[in-house]
Amino acid sequence: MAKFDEMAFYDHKEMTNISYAPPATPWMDTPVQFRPGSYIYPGKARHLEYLGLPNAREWEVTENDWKLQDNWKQIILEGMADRLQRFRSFKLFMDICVRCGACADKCHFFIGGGDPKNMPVLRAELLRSIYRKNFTAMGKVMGKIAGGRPLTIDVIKEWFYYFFQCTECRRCSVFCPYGIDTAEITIMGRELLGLLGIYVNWIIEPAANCFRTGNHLGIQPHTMKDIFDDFATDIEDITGISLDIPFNKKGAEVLFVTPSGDIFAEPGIYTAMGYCLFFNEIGLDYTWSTYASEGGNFGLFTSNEVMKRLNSKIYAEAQRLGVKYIIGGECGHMWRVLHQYMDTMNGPADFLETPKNPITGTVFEHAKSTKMIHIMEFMADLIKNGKMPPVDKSRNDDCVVTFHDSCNPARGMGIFEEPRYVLRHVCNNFVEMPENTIREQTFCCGGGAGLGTDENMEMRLRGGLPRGAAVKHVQDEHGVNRLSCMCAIDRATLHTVCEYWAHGVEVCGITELVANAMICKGEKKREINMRFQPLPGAEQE
Amino acid sequence: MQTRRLAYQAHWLSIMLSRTLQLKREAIAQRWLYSVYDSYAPETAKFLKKKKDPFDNPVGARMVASTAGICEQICADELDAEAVCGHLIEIIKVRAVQDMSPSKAMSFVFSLKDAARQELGQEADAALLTEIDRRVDQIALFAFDIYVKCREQMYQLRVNEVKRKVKTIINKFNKENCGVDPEDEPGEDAPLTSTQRGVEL
Repeated sequence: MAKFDEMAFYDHKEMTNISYAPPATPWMDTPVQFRPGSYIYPGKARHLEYLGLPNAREWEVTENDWKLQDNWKQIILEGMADRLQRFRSFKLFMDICVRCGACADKCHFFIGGGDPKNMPVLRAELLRSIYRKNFTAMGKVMGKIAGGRPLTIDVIKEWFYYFFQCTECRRCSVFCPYGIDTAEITIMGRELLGLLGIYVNWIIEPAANCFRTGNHLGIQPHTMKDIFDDFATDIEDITGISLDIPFNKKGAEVLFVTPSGDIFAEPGIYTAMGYCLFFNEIGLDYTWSTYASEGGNFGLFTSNEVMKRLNSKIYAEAQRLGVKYIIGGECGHMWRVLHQYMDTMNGPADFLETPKNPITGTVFEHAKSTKMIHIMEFMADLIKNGKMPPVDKSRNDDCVVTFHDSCNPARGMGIFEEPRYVLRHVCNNFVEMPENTIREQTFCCGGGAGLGTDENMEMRLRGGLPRGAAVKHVQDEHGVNRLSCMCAIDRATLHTVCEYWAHGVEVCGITELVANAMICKGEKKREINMRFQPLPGAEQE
Repeated sequence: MQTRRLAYQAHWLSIMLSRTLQLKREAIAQRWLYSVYDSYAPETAKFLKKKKDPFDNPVGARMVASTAGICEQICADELDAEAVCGHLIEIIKVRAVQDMSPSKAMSFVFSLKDAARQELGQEADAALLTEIDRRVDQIALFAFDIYVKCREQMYQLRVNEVKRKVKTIINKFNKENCGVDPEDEPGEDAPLTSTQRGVEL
């Protein structure tokens, strides 16, 4: 027998037989490992306090003790019981899944990351297993055999990890034969975590800011006015047209609401400048507001109650200013809130009128109840009726454009044709991405639903892979260099996704391209676009 | 004389390597591909193998094309570094952002040795296996470089994003208070020079 320090002691065959396969432990027995890059920093106490949310304290995700209330288990179970009673859809979605697997491979985080717990069915099971154990007879008696499991602190950590790896994009729901909306399950999961004071800062800080100043970024009225003065100066430099951008104008016909992200950072600011130029050119009697200065609603990612509180500002401001109706800008989740929840949350807005285009006379009957229409619907109507200002498409000839359907306007609202109609009107080069990556099957940017922060960059890039692959395809095949979209979060996050997966493709809003192409009355000879870059052909002159 | 003999041996080895491997190339590629799939959880591996559409399964599509391309290089007379790196980037870009330790992310390169051994079986000549090992080791070194570049790019993207958020305000401040035209300053979004970017990712 060889000694341990002699080579013959070791079984070489066994030593070199390294398996790279991951351990096949059942999902219930595989606890979460928090890896930097794939989770978001926790909500700071001061923001929770500002919104009056429970258990405000400073805590760290990677520490063992999350400083929960002593009776946290009771809080969760009572919270669940309450929601099962209040929200019929939640109860239904907990019960009816037959685990057919149709949704399993539809989530961008699963497709790009490969973590099975990001299969929508399994992500929902994280919550469903607790429901079964505590709220169904079978689960109470049979436990694990019936798919139930006890509520432990590891379960809470797992919820935190995975419910903040869902962008509530609802792609999986399109494929579910029962119509289960996994986004709603995530919404419920996040609400339950909220009862323990478990929020992420990138959501709760904007929500608190919005409650305090009217917008996510905490821009105060005088700063906002200052920013728009700068826009006016820039627009004058580009077009020679001097604008007077209306603010808090009482008696205006239309209140315009859009996400504050677009008035703050590139490339969204070019879209915001585009709105100002467009409204000025068609002579619409409209106004911006410093109070309802946010279209987005991070309450959607916090709780039903916070969403309602933040949303209430829009109708309140419309009433105060005495406008007739509201137009909303290019935003993503804002449209899910406006289209699906606003009417019953804070409506009916019977002090407003059914939106009517003052230039074409078109009455937007579909918005009879909410009194709010999308700017693309408004623009498409102008084009259809030949009332759109003249355009010079060649000004966008440096762009080969494709269009990313943002999840919420696409699946939450069903607006597919209008943006394409407008794009084709202002661009000569428009190319669609593959069929299974657009319209109702569109892939998320990987940063929606409050995940668009930088500390979880690794996670976002995984989630952005399916979209990035489609963009790369049209870049290689058709020379696409511009990805247009109508969502402020997309404009911020897809920029990064494209840098990694489809280097060389820039991101823009649709109104930016409209503003480039629009020939305004009395404009000077246009030599630069909204980004201060030379227009095609201008370099040679 | 000694030099000529060595050169002759190397030439002979190269021909033998090429002929034997060409016969087995597709089988090696297939075996290697499946071992890469199996480095994921079983449910994920099943999905990666099953879905063929390159947009429904972009990870699988990249792996199919890249493993085949690298195997082609392994079996060629000489290793074309540029072609190998082109294929490696496709796989490593994905694995660099997936939930894996660096060692696990890179492990797929070494499983090519096992795949080749299992496919060549009894026919394998020691010299042939040594040459394969040498080439795989070379590929592994390329892979390390690419992995690190992908991670560096990821951190750079994070920095760029933070800078972009404050760019408008800083430009405005500089213009108003310092008289500096932001267009004259190198911006944080200035494209990386080829030296900074290294391999085009």
